[in-house]
Amino acid sequence: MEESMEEEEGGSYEAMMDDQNHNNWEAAVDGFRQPPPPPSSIPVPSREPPGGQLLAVPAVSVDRKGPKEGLQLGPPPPPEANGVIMMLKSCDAAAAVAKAVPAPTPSSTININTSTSKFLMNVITIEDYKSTYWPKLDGAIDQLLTQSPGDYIPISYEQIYSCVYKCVCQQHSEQMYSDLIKKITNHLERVSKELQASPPDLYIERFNIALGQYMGALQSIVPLFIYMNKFYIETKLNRDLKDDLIKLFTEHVAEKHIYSLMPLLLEAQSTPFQVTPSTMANIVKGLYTLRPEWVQMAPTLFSKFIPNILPPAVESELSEYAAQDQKLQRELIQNGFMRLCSTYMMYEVLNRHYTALMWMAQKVTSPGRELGMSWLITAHQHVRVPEGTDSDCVECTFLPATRTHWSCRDCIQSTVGPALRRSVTKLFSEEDVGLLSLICNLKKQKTNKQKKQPVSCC
Amino acid sequence: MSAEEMVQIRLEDRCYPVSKRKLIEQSDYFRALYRSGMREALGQEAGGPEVQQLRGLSAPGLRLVLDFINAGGAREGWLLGPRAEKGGGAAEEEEMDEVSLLSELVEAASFLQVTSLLQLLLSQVRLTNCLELYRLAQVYGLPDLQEACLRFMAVHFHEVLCKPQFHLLVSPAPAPGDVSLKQRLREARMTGTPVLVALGDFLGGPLAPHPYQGEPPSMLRYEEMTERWFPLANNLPPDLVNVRGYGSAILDNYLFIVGGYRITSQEISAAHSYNPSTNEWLQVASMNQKRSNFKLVAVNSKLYAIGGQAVSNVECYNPEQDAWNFVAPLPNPLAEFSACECKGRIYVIGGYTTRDRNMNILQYCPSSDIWTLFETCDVHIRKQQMVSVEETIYIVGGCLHELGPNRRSSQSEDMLTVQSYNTVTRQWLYLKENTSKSGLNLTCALHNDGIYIMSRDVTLSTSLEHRVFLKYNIFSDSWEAFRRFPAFGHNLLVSSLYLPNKTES
Repeated sequence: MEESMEEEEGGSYEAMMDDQNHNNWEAAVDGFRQPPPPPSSIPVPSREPPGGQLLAVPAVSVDRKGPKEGLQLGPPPPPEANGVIMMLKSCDAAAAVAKAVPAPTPSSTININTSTSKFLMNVITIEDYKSTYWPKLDGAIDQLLTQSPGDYIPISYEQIYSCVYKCVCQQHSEQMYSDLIKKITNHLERVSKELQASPPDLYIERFNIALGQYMGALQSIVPLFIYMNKFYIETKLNRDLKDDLIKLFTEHVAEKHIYSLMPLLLEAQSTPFQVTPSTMANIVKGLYTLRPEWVQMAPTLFSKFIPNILPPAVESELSEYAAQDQKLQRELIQNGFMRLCSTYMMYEVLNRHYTALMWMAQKVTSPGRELGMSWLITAHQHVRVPEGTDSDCVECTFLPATRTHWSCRDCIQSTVGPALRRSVTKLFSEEDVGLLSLICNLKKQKTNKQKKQPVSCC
Repeated sequence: MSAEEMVQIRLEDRCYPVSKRKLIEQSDYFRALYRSGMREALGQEAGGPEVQQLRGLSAPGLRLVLDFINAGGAREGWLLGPRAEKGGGAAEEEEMDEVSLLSELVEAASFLQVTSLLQLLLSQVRLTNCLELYRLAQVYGLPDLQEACLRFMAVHFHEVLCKPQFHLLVSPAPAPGDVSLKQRLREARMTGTPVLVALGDFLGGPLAPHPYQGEPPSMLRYEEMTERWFPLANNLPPDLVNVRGYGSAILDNYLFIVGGYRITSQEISAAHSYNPSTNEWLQVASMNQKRSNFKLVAVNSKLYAIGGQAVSNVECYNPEQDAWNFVAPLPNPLAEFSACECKGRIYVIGGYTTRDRNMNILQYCPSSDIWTLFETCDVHIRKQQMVSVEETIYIVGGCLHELGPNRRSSQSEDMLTVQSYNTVTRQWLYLKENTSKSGLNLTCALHNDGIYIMSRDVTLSTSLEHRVFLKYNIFSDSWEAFRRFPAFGHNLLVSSLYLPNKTES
């Protein structure tokens, strides 16, 4: 079989596919369909159709195939289902022979054969897979990965899909999946290195191109592998190919570049025309697809391109928001770290109680807004009730550069005891109390206890 | 542009027109193709192909799938293949054709990923196609279909097992540690709720514990929570009514009733099995020997019919062939003996030979097909029932007769006793007795944590009928009595079967 496959390699795609599906397999049938014991039990030549016009492959190759398939019937190196297929085929053949007693004419055997799958007639050994099928896929993937989005794709969907399909049906999914992941990982590592080498002025544009090219390639690669996705990745691994491939880009490219990319993006954003808006839009949207949490690194930037990142702002209040923000930021900087932490903690608690109350009152809204804390609003988009809030990065709204590890959610949850909750609830029930006075009150009450908490959490 | 854009699909030298919309709707292949941006996705004007070329599929299979797509998906009462409606017919050849058409259909549907069609196959699993569909599901990686086939095959296990194709499906030696299909199906049969089932010629009437309507049922199930008996939706097959002295055994959660005699005529050789999964009786191959008052024992997935009235031969039933074959006979014909399986061997204890009391414990090894004298005991027992747990045989009821000097009083004839015999230590234990109950005419079954015993006896002196329904708890070595006897009746048999869970059925 290797021989015939190599022949195909030389030819055009069309020729290859035709040959494989219409000619070789029929020849292979004869070698294949012999009953399990010795392949010699039915003389191979006698079972060839006399006309032979269907057989493009010379008898020599048939001979070669016979023993080869026969080998697989023994303790089989290619595992499980191959064996199953083999046995059933041979049983079909046995039945077919029995049916055509006393002397099965070759042509009648062939006719019965047409009832069985042409695709699966060719047993694809792991060697066949490595020497013929994967290289074909490898070439197509290369082409898809390196061409620009929108380019004409000369690859035939049907041919590549068939190739994937055959490999899956012949139990090569696992190998194929790992080859695919390996291949794309290698590609992405190369992409990442190239990016690293780019000068800063081209960096954003190059990142954009890499991202666009990869996402474009996925548009084609994923559909090509849907058979593997459905029958292997989804069912055996409980994953999804597209997610896996997107994750590869996140891990091997985006994560490695995000911290150099973000400052550049923020800088570019403040400098008109340094980067075209479309590039900016692509990157921001792309990053959001890769990892929605990255929004929190620059919510304002993301909110420009992605709807519903921020709550709808009321235009008339814009200046007021800004003034509030500035005042708060000033205060916070003055009061330093402790203050920030306790504010954050207060907010956590407040937010939970307030949101719960609001939900009960069927009046869902942003708690921060009601309290005049617009700076917090931006950070608390995903208020979830009743689990609490998802707010790792309050500070990044005003201190983007210093944000590194400031994730105090865990320690807040662990340190905010019932007593504190109660006191906050009590305070909170006095609706009009402003945030800062709340904090001050709380600090008075809890000075001793609170001293340690920010330290432990930061 | 017409409202319905048509696509020509070419396979070999024929073209099939299909609505593009329906194609994209039903076939993941075409949906992905048109989304891929590759050569075939382009419109004709943009240099795309005139036809969508397919290769390697079979024309009949593709035609069936395209018909399905053109029809806009599943229709009411859709049946597999054109032949499915006919049923019966010249089975062999049609089955062959159906099977090949089926594989072509599944291949085309898998290749084109017509999910709704593949989904529809789940409800089309039949006895005629389950093996082929199972194989196809393996080949094309259709786990749902594979599951559906497994479920179906587990429900119809013995019917599937005796199909010749079954062995071709499972013959490649599975990798070590890999559970074979047969084993998986066996395990699947042992699921559901273990329920005590009573068979017998029950009498209706005012004293019956449950107001049955019409004919009194011949099969009852016991609900442990409410301690009540309910009729099973099925009854004994007519030719089993009034058969006495039959052999019964449970094999793969099938209850086999074999042989026996009719009151009106002589012994029979017929064999029936009750499948609780389908709630159906099946007639299986008859024994070669008519026999009654013999023992039927299930060992290693086979049944052994041992002896009988003046019969010493032994037959083995293999559900895989649905056939009985003689194996090594008993050394002598035995009467009023009992037998059970224990650790893969058969033990025969008690009763009479043609000349004398049988004091020997005989052991049969199925793999070597040899009867051996296991031990000679000094207590004679007859008409007992036997069940086993691990290496311990429980001997329930029967009539004990101790030989030798230190013999117990002969009261034992009127008592219901439970003894155990350990086949490893060869130790006898006299476990429990229940006075005022006779142990001569009882039926028992291992169920949950004990041996459930049911007995109906008439004391000759008083003509009073005793009805007993109790449990010997083998872990606490204690009796537990139940109030509800199933019904007045004769010819009782109690056994423990897995009934399908209500949610499943």
